[in-house]
Amino acid sequence: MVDVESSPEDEQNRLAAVHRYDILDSPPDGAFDRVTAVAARLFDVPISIVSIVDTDRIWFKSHHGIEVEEVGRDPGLCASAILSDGPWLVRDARADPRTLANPLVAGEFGLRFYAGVPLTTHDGFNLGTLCVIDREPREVTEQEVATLSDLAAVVMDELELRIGARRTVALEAQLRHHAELVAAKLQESLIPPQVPVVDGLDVATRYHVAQLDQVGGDFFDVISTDWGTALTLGDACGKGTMAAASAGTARWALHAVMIDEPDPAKALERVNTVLYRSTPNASTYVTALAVSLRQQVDGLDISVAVGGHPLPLIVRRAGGVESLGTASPIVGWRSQSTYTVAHATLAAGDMVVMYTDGLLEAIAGRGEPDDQALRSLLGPLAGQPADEVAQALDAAIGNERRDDVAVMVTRVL
Amino acid sequence: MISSESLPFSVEVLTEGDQTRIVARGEIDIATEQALRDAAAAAVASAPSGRIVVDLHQVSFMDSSGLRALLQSRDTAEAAGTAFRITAVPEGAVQRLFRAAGVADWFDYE
Repeated sequence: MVDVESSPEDEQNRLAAVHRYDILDSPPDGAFDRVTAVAARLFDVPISIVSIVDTDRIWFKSHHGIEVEEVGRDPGLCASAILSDGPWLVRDARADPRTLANPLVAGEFGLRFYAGVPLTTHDGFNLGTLCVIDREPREVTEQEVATLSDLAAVVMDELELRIGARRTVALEAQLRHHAELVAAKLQESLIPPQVPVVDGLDVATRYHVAQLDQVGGDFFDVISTDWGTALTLGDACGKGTMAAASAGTARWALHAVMIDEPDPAKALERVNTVLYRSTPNASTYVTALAVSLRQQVDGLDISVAVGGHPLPLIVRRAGGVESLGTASPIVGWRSQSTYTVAHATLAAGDMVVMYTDGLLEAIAGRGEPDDQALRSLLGPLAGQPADEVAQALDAAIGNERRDDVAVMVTRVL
Repeated sequence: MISSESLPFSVEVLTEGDQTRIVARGEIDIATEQALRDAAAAAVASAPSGRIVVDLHQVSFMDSSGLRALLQSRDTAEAAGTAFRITAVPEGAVQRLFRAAGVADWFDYE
């Protein structure tokens, strides 16, 4: 053999290129099989191969007319062919000093004719060849070589397409993973990592996002204070990071205010102004419930202020579902809004259910004119532990949701 | 429970003199609200001193994003001096949203 030797460093780089295309030992592919079939037909030879030259073997991506998947690198003619920059032609292998001692030529296989064109990457590495082989000696014209070169370019285009598609898929997976991480991180600002244990209350919460890679716009909080317990829950208009930012602002503004403001209407009024100022172009709003629970002589007083939100439901242990609150405007759209407080007294076993709009949509569909379906669902659950009620709601919600759902069930112990 | 058919969303713009009537149909939600805003903004731009009526009779559902689009459209119109009205809100989900959101008296009605 009188081949030019490549330096070990060049070969390392070439092998790196082979691995970049991630094609070795990939399953058969019709696109390459069509190319070898066409090449064999055009040359009127029995065998055509798309080969990739690996460290110590020549692996066949496509082999037309021969049932062999790979050969050792030493006897392989393709290993020689990739060392040349252009077509590598052997008209009669037995008479050619480059090949006459080759075992494929001298041995049983009896190879006589070989024409191979390297598969060259855009950055100049020869991955392997497209070759045609015959057991008879044969002449080859310039036109045939040009055709074989064009077909090799087709093979290379296919390989480039595949690497591009794989990169796109990998990039998409990476982007999705990143979006999920961001969503999860943002989510942490919208709800407490764990609902705090509050004496005398049994609280269960749920937070279902419509899409995992999108942060929700719902929020809730349970706040222990010197005056009693504050519960908040709300829903920022829209979806995605903008909604999450509003929801986070609303949650923490309510948290800060309610630590020493037991009047939920006053709390909403202050938070309304905070939110209005945080979005100067009046581009968004939230709906929210602010609830204060304070122990009184005759039971637990519940005070509710409603900011454009579905009214909370009270499920009495003795039976009966009632809503509590006065519908008042959404929070953060106007510089000033006024809210009113509605009161009730809760006895042991009574339950308050706060939820976002998504719950009604999930339970009863988009045509739902009121909260009747939810009331019917909650009625028979009177007096049940909060988590069992939440589980019953989970079951009613199902897995098909278009909107986020937040639920807080608070039972008086 | 009233089951409303899920109409495909559409916005039709009818111009009569200096009045633009924006007829919305179907569900106005986060996926469709932009069309409503665009129609209102275009109406304000073409006739700032005119009148806009948003016809909601055939709207079967509206979410908070839809309401935001309606509020923004009204604010855009008012800032430009364009009169902005809506028709009575249909019963069902849309009325529930308006009631809950506490914004019924923020609008002028046709």
